[in-house]
Amino acid sequence: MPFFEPRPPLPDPEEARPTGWVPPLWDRPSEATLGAPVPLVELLATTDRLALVLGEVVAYPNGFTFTILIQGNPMAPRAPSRSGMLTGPGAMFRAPRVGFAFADGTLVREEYSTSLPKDERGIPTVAILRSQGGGGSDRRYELRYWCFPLPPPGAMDLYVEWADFDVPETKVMLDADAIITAAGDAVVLWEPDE
Amino acid sequence: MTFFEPLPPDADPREPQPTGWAPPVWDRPSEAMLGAPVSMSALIVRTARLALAVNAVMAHPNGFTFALVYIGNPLEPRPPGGHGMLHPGVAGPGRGPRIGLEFADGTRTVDHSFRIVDGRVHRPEVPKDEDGVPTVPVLQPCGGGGGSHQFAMRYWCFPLPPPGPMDLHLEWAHMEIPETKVTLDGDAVRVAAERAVTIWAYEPGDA
Repeated sequence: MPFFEPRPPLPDPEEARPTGWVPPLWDRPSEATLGAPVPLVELLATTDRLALVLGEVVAYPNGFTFTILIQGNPMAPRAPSRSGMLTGPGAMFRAPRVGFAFADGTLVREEYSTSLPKDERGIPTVAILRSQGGGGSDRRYELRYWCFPLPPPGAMDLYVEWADFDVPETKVMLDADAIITAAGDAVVLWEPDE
Repeated sequence: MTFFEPLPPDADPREPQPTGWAPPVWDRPSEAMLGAPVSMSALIVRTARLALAVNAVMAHPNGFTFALVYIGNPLEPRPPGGHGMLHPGVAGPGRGPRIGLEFADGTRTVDHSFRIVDGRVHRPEVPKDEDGVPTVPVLQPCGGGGGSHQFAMRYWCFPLPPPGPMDLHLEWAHMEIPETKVTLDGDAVRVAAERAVTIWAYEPGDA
């Protein structure tokens, strides 16, 4: 008797059904929208061992994504048995801490609570910053984030801190207007009623 | 007697040694530099099933990177339990999208990644000078990732484009996408490359 039950047959490709997809309001960018890139790269911090870089800012009508790149110094001496910056005896990879201060005074930190304050449509009434995962190697690693909603006009500060890797709390000023303007260039590829 | 030889002693992690790294000449951007973003994005093609776009263009002194983004239509009906689309390899080896660049001076380059020909791995030869630097433009993938609805494949192009516009050509017969091109601003890439920043300065013997 086999351990696994027999698999059900594969679905018939002819039985394609509607997916029921609707555009997300706040928890992520729409999968049916091509976001608009914001030409914005900032070197946030540099140590002998690594650099933190803000990059790949992409604007959508309901928010923006960005990456924090962790770039290892290719010239930093390392032990022969260790391949890169994020390894070492007992190394524990805790991500850098990231947050924003918007021009209207709103502070945005990573928030994963399931009890967010929301309006009658279920949309959070506070700004949200969430990880969207990441990937890379021990020499270069990218962390991706989603921020809802778009920032208000004016300057916005990006804060980063990574004490585990000797990066103190640091801030850089960004142009929120560039993100807002770019969001107007996002392209809706498919509409639900198409 | 054991099957495996004893492992060599672990090197002392307290004794870091130079890595021997030197700035790459042509096969990739330097890991010690921060490329400059180029304000460039283009929707190449859109069908009922998927869209392909180019974005995330980054300029470096010795070339530029960009992303070819695959976006699956989340509204496309699919079988129950069936996943969304696709990634470049979904069509099988050698059946993914073909891309290439055509520059204002008439030079062309196509994706130099390996192909499976008659069951064997085939990597196109690139003519090089006496220093081992290609004498023609080189376009090659440099990683990618994503999920069932969106996938981004990154490419590296050496060197910087000559002045003038450049055409990105794409064709994906498996997905019924005929040969298509979009014109991009090569000058914007060249200008941006001057804004690339050295993060860690290299001196021979440093590493």
